[in-house]
Amino acid sequence: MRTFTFRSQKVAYYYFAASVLLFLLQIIFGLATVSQYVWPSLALNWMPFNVSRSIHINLLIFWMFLAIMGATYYILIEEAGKELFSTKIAMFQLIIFCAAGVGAIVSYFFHYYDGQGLEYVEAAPVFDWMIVVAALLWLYNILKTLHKAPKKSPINMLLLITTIGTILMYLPGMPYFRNFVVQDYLRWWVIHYWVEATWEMYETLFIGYLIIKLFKVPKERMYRWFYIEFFLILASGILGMGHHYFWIGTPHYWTWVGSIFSVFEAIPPVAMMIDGLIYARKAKTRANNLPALYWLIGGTIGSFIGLTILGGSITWFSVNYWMHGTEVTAAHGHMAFFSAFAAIFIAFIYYSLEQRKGEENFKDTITDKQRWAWAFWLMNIGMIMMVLAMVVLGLMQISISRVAGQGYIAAQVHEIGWFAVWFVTGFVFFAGVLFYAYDFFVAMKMKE
Amino acid sequence: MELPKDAKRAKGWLIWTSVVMIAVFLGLTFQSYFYVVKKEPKVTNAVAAGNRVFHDNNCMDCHTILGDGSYYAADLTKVISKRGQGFVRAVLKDPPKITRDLWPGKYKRVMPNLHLTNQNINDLIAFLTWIGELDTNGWPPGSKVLSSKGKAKPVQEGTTSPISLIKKLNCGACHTIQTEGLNTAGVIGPNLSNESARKRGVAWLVKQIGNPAAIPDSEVAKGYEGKQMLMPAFKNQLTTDQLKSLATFINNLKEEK
Ligand code: HEM
Ligand code: HEM
Ligand SMILES: [Fe+2]
Repeated sequence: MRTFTFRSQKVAYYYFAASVLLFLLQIIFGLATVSQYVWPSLALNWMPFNVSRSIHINLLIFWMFLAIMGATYYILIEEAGKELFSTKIAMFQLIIFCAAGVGAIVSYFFHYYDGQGLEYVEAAPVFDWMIVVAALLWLYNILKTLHKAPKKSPINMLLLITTIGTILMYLPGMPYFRNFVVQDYLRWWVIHYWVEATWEMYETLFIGYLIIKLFKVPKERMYRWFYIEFFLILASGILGMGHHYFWIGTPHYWTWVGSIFSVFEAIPPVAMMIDGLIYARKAKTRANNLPALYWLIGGTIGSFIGLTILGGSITWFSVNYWMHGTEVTAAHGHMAFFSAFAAIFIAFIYYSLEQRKGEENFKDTITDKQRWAWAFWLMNIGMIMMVLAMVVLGLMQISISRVAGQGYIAAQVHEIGWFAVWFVTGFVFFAGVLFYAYDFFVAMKMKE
Repeated sequence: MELPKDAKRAKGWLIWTSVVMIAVFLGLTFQSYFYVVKKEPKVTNAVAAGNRVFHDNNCMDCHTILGDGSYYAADLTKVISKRGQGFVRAVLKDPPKITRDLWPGKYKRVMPNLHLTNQNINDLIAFLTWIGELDTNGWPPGSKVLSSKGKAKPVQEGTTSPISLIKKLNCGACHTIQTEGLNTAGVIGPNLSNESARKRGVAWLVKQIGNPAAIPDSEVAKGYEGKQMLMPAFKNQLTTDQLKSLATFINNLKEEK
């Protein structure tokens, strides 16, 4: 069963190609960042730590956003039952977005932040505006495509709402405030309302879509699941924001509001994992797109580890008091971003490649060649090992610097070995990304 | 297309819960805004200027501040009350030189030179002082002994026990002091384990601890010339008796062979 029926769905693959390249670059900068823990003054003068780190986390957001835009177009067109309103706009949007990304990255080498050098939202206002323009083109294209579409689709309505939410939540990170507390308060709107609200909603939509396609589940059966997941995510996540307001100079009631609501944020990933596993077992015909299947199931299990276990365990304020601002946060951040987003997007991309190139071709050139399996295992094992190293690093920081009260440096001097472990295991992950990138371009070059 | 009944019900929950949650969140946001503006210390022009310098240099992708940011360098929330203005000023003037000495062994993770002007540095100090005065709900751990308002206050009333004072004031962050009950390994200031050999006397040590800036360079321990300003003045955090007891204790320190 091929669902690749509309020519304009091809735009999605340009987005995917850009996302694969930026993913590769993100990991190279990740390695450059962790290497500065091991050899601290290596690049002090031309690429200090804050530059390589900004690039690492910005590329992360850029490539994931590209994958989201591509996947959104792909689903939108199919669900609407008509061609995209304008592929020209879609390509123009892609170019502006990539230009903003590349521009921002280059600007960091010149320490150009223009009052915006804050973690995750480092890009100077010019680049913010370019991103807003790209996002509005995206929205316009979606709205125009949905207008008078032959099919009314609940999935498209959810995609539209999620997209509007994502764009709206980009704006609070843009202005400059004299008051740092106000600034930090709003900076979290971008981060938390993306990953723990709108992006998690995309995750839900893509997982659900893949369940429908891979396990041949009737669409109507999944609608209820979409709404329940969205409900669980927003009922906990909107006020769960409070877990970032415990210690930043905001009123003290946030400790209770944030702790109580964010604990329930641990539930939606459990539901995703259980449903994924149930559908996979119940499926009448065995899903034949193994790469997509593995990444889908791996992603939901990883989300359970990253969000429910790691996120859930640090979210109560009396625990957060001790771990806030240590590498434990980074452990959670890596596991969560990798499983909830990276893995699911990769699953989607493998699925869409099969649709475009045909099942037979895909089986011969991709599934049977096993490169995807190397990518899957190297990335997952590499990630788990890196995350374990980060947990150890965080626990050392907590026990030496905080519980024993010996200050920041006392812990760091004992930690170099564990940073080296992170560096080495990072190469395991990197090898996986190389397999994946190679696989993607082999698939793209295949005859249709 | 008609939604199945159960999906319709779930959709209803979704819409109503979201509306209520968003309304509550926006309400708390307004309340928090007025709390931050009214109850927390005022943002003066100098604080705002320092805030801008902080942003322009992307300090947050190495340091945490209020616990947010990167973990490559120390948290800055209470840096002024922990280290003193003099120390922070010295670091910002020549970051690689001062931060290199913070690391005890061969491994040196240093801060790059940001080429700040004196004006930038003054503004940053105003900004960091303001951050230190925020009510952060007792975070970071260990900061409750520093005054919540960031200004020095008696560290612990009622005790003149030098060992407990040294622990509370965290002298060991900068000094090595090896004696019964103390085992610190700081390397920023001179090793005090054998201070009796320097023959300073109690009165001189009272001056040194109370107000290091009053000590002329000629009297500073060998190898530490020009580093006087790195040590905070403790006179406001100690009563006269506490200061005397501390000076006497240090004056008598003798390495056991
Ligand atoms: C896809 C979902 C998620 C992603 C991608 C994600 C990612 C992140 C990242 C990157 C940070 C670090 C922010 C920084 O650098 O300061 C963070 C912090 C945090 N996350 Fe998540 N997260 C997700 C879901 C969750 C969930 C479900 C929970 C709780 C149940 C949670 C609880 C927390 C907490 C408490 C912090 C603050 C840690 C601290 O105090 O330092 N997260 N998250
Ligand atoms: C070879 C692979 C990787 C290496 C070596 C690496 C290294 C690093 C380093 C050194 C940091 C800075 C930590 C600090 O401030 O102390 C960092 C931050 C971060 N990285 Fe990676 N990374 C890798 C892969 C990834 C992947 C695959 C993702 C997501 C899918 C990711 C997401 C993040 C995030 C969200 C942060 C910010 C975490 C925080 O603020 O707590 N990284 N990474
Ligand atoms: Fe959050």
